Amino acid sequence: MDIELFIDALGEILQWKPLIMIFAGVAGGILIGSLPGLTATMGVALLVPFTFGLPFNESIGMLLGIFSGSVYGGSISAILINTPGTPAAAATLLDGYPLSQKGEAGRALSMSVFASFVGGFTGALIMTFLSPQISQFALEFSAAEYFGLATFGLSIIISVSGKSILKGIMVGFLGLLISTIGMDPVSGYPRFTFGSMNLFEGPAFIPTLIGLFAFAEVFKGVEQLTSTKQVVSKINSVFPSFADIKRTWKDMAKSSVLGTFIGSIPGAGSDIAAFVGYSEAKRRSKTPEKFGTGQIEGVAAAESANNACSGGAMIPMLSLGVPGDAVTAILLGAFVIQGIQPGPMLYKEDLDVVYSVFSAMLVANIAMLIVGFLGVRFFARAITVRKSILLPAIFIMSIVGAYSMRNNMFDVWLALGFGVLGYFLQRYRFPVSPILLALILGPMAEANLRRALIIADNSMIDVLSRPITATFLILGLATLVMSILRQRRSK
Amino acid sequence: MKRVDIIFGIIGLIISAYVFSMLDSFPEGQPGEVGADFFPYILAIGLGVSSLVLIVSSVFKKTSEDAEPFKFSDTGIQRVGIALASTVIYCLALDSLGFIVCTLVYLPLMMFLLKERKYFQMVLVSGAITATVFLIFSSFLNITLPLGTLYGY
Repeated sequence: MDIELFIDALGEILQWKPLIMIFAGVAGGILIGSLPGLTATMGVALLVPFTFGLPFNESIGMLLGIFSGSVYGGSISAILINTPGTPAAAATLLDGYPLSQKGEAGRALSMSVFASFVGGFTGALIMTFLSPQISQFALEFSAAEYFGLATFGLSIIISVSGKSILKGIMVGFLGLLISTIGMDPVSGYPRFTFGSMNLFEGPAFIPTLIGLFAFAEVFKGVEQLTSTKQVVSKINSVFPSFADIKRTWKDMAKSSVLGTFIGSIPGAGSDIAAFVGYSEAKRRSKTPEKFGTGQIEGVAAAESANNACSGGAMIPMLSLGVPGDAVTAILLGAFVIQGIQPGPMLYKEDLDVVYSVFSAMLVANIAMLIVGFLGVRFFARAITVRKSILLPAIFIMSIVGAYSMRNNMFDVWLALGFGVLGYFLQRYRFPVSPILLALILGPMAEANLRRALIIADNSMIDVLSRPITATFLILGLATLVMSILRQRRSK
Repeated sequence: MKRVDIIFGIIGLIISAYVFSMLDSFPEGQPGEVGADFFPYILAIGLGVSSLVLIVSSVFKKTSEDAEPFKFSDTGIQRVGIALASTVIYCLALDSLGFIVCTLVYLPLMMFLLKERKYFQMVLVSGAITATVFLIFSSFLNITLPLGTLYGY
């Protein structure tokens, strides 16, 4: 690791403009994450358009701020109103809500900010030191290996995305077909563009994801409009006590490492990390029977695990160009819009860019700690905003966000179309995120396979039998078969 | 038998049939070469086969529960329909009427649709959202939102 370069990059991030953007991103991320029904994925999708026009450091700072903030934000509504703001916070409410029922909401919230910081910072540190090693290994990959890697990534993501693997596979193929819209990567022949110039480069990424993750979600919200009045518990203190930190630090440390590890596996998201961290703390505890009744360790373990996951998920995204989950897929898309192609070549050629990402991630977690402590009372009030006010506002944000990418109404229609598609898919229990991941991994698989075939004189066997490629493909197949078997057994 | 799954399966089959029908018009590559049609071809087979499996497995499934039946008489579904239609009208009017006017009309109507009845708040919040979004995008991010061709912009 080039320490001097890293300190330079950190210095660049610590200028006042990138810092303001990081804080703005964190605040926006926490706000959206804390609103029940708005997932971290949706938060990042809605806020990404705000980063287009910014210079690189500011844009990257804001993106990573949003990312870190939104994962933490989910815990606020989990603790206060027993509704996880994001799926990742589902484990936090097990002990967080009982704590606030006991009148200790402030204690739970301050612990959750602190644990999120510990987890997020640890994850970011591990990412900083581990991802260069992985990229080093991947530098030897040629097109054939990338094809194997992309296929493996797809299989693992489809196999964990939802209750029905068959539906996941179907949606995955649909997403891959959508990813072939536009000019063919090798010959340039326009495929399935219906004669529209707007589709020559394929369906634009940001409008597509705004459709799938923002429009679809608000349509669902419009359908299931409920107006139950939420009672928010009082918040006493906003800082964790020394005694609580002393009591939980071992759980936090363990969860942070576990969470980073789980996050780095493509397909395993922060919700899984949170539950693993939680059950590990419960198993280790001398009083496991008290878990679920308001144990501060439960909050600490779950929150440090799900925030550590963010750093973990960045590892394959940055070093291999393969996103670990839907949120990192969006980040990858946003990086590409900024003119940065994640992957091992990035480490070789633009190390300063990589170090900027590391620094921004570390600083974003510190910003999260500060905004979390200072803003917790404000966010606690924000979660009671009525759906009737919130949803129309999200409609406008989605329309403007889709439009702003290319100042183009076509993209808005595209987003609306994907919104309707996403709404119906979700309504009938088809997972939506395979489409998003297919949009990233599909072109990667196709372009690399075709390139590899040109190198290998069109011999498919030569390409597929390369050792690393074959290993990835077999692993991918095994993942699918194993998850189908597991699903059968559970029935 | 799950009706919805069968419908989704049929849609999947139609899409894959459509892809197949389009592939004929793709340019021919060298013999033995993998061309622009190769990937879509494999994917269309994949989609077709998985759609067929979905149809067959739902026909033989004993459970008859459909997730949540889609009925046009359901008020939730009607709300989604109205929201979608208003959004489409909003987008159609955006170019000529401009962002500010459209949004100032659209927001209160949507809030009313979602059963908001505090009229003073509705107007106030709509104004605030419109102003904030417009200012952030036009002055801070340098993205011009449609100002309205009707007024000569």
